[in-house]
Amino acid sequence: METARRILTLLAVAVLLGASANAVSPRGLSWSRPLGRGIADQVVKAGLVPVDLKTVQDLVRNKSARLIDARTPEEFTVGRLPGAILPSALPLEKDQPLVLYCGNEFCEQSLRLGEQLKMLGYRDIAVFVDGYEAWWNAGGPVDQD
Amino acid sequence: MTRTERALRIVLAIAFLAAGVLKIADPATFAVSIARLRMIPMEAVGAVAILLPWIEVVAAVALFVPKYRGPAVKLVLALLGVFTLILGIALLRGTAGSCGCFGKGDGVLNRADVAVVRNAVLIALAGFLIRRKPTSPAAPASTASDTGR
Repeated sequence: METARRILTLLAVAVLLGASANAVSPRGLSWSRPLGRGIADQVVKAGLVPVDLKTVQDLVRNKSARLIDARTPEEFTVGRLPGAILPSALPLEKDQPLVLYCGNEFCEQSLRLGEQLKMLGYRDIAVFVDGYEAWWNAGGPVDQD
Repeated sequence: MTRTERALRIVLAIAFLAAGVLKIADPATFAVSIARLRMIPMEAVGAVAILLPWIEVVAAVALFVPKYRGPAVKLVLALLGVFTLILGIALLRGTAGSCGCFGKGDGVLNRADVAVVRNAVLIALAGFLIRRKPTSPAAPASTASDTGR
């Protein structure tokens, strides 16, 4: 009984510390939406087109869109979708179909990049919401340095 | 506390302190790791991501606080059991990627299969501490080396 009481005390202290720290921390999470709203909704709201794995597989096979990797250069080096380039190597033609992606369904880099490109005048922008991890988990081929 | 007990507590404390602090430093990444395991309802991800790291830190510190040492070991053992069960099921389902056990990154420390093995070792250490009878000034020493002399 005493042990249980002391364990509960430890848990209570942890909850108090955790809740307090989360409230004051700039990295604090939302209790109800710790992952944000999910980028699929935000992609649509931003006027971009969310695309799924099957669509991206077709686009890669047909080479009918330019893939833009919105992750870090280090992640890009380790592995990327076939033919993907970094944003720094973007084509100048604003009409070229672009497909942006980042790591997974919870990352926002591709969405942010899409918003910036839209402001720069690029007209045909899609976002592969499930990202590199979905491609990798499906066994898709990857380019590497 | 004998030398052996102290060493085991230090190992457990370091593991839990490191895990907790790294998660506190980057709660968003930990929340993503939890969500990707797909083992708990999405509604609970926030509370787990916010509170679990602090439970780890408090348990680590309590391993050395008089009167809380025994309960802290039991708490550590319970946490390890739950973590191992969740990771094991996620591995079987194929939803285990990075466990987020030690913050950001997909390195070996965060691999779910490595985490299961690591947790098994820590469970053994905690189990040893629980089964070992508490030493007191009146109790006879087990061996000379165990008493630290």
